[in-house]
Amino acid sequence: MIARRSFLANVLAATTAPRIGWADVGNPSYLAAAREADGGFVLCGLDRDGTVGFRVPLPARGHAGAGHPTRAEAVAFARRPGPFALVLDCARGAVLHSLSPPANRQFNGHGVFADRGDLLFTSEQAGDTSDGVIGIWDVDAGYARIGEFPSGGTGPHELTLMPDARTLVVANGGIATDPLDRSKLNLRTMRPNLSYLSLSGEILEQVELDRALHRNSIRHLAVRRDGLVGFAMQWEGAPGAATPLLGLHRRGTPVRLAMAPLADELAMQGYAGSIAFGGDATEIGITSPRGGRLHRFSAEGAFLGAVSRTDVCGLATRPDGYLASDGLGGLIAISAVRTAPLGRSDCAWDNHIVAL
Amino acid sequence: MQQSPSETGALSLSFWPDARGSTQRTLAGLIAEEDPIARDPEGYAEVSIAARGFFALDMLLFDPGFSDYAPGSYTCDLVTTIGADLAHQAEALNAAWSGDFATTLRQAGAEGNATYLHEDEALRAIYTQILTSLEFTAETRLGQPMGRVDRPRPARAEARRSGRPLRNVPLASQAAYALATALADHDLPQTDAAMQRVRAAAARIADPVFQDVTDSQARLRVEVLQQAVRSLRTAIGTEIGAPLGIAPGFNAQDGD
Repeated sequence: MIARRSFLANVLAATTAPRIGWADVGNPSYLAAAREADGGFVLCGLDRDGTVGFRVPLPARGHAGAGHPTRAEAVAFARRPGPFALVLDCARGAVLHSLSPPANRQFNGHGVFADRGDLLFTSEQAGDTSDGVIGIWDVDAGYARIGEFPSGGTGPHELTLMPDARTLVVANGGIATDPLDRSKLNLRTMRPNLSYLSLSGEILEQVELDRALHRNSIRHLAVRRDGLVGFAMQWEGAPGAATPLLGLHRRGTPVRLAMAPLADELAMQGYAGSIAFGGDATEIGITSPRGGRLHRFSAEGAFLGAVSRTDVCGLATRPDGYLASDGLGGLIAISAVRTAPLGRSDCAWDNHIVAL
Repeated sequence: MQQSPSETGALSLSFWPDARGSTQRTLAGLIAEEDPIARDPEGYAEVSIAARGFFALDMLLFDPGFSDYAPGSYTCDLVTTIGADLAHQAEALNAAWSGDFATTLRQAGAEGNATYLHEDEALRAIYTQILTSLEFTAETRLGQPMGRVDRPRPARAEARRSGRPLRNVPLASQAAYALATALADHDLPQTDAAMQRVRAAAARIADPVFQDVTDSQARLRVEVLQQAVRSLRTAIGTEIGAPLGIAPGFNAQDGD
């Protein structure tokens, strides 16, 4: 009887409580994690002008998020080495599911929905070897873990979906880390790559940089509607090397590396933290919180200019340029013609802004 | 100063450290080809920053591989042009700092100021610059020639050709100290004492170009100076940073 009653209750719930969509939470344009003034952590919804909509508490510092394509559900990933990811109901502020990686797996801070939101793919690594793994989660089964496949490299970081909706692109950062902290174990031998994988894990294409750049960790990604992939890098070699921090790739063609003039390149301190196409995607930007600057490039890789802003990191596309966030709580609109503050909250915005 | 107008401008004045020998290579290339840019003080701004500024002059005026040139020679013209380019850069920086950037800094938090969204951010920027400058002095100016204990690198001393490695340390420390004193509206007793210790430690060093860091006693005296610069940085953090509640960058420190 109890089983039957609970079955009926479930049917009732399913029929009377329609899925809450993004429109029900004010159609936010972006997700961003933050540390609040009281030291607590949250995931926020932001509209195009940087106004904070919903605000859902997190148990610890977040890194990036993933928004479901239709439901007002977001997955917030812990920073590396990640012990948790939370599926949040952005309307009610409730935790719907808490995802834990299986034994000997840790979340690497990023994930993406695919298959019209039926599947969630997560960037992970084996705790003991740092071998890259892409975890697969069945959304309708309550985010059940249903499988995994190799990422095609070591220490994958960001992954995203290509415009064909059938291909994943993965930034395999190449760095093996200690399972308990972030100590880097293989800087002399690291070999990052950019991997394209089918949704079933078949490696379709892999790209490595020249041997001289093997310490340039490929970590973050932006994809344009026509399949052009921008990737942002972090240099693990000697400081002052002024290596390129932006790469552009289109499947089946060679990588194009993009550099600013030497003084600007040096000012980035070998570190790009986020990447996004700007405006109509004829340009692309990368941020360096260490250098406190954003660099703009054409989609062909020509340097367009720099914007200075302390601790800037989060970056997402706005209709006429970019939305940038920083650790001082600032949200700034950047376009080819002007840089305008949108607001300053009493919080520290975390590394990424995720466009919905 | 390596922020705002000087964020990239400082590098074309002072291109160092130069682990890959870019200054020497670029200058040698210009001289070998007798590139006409050496006779164009306006156009020289387009040359690689490795061949501009003080360290290009340090090389051409004091390195025996370059300095043996005659009046009116190509290298002589190159030196003159680098000097003129340096003067242009100084004028441009002075104009930028006292013009637009002075307004940006003074009007921190004003509507439309996208550099400093709040008054505190301007204070933070200057404070951070002070600490960064002292860190550079301790870890790079001194750290480079010190190298590792088992592998000192005296050839890496800053501006060693012109005899300035030691001299630059108290000068840079004094500049950071002066900025800290100007920034604070209260007494800084620990900072004052720490600055005195930097001067005293510098006075005890025998070789002004640190070429004796291969000797353990001499190295120890350079280490004492390095520690004194670090202590000055700590004192400024305690007496200025802590009361202002300034913490290191949330994202810059995270690294991911």
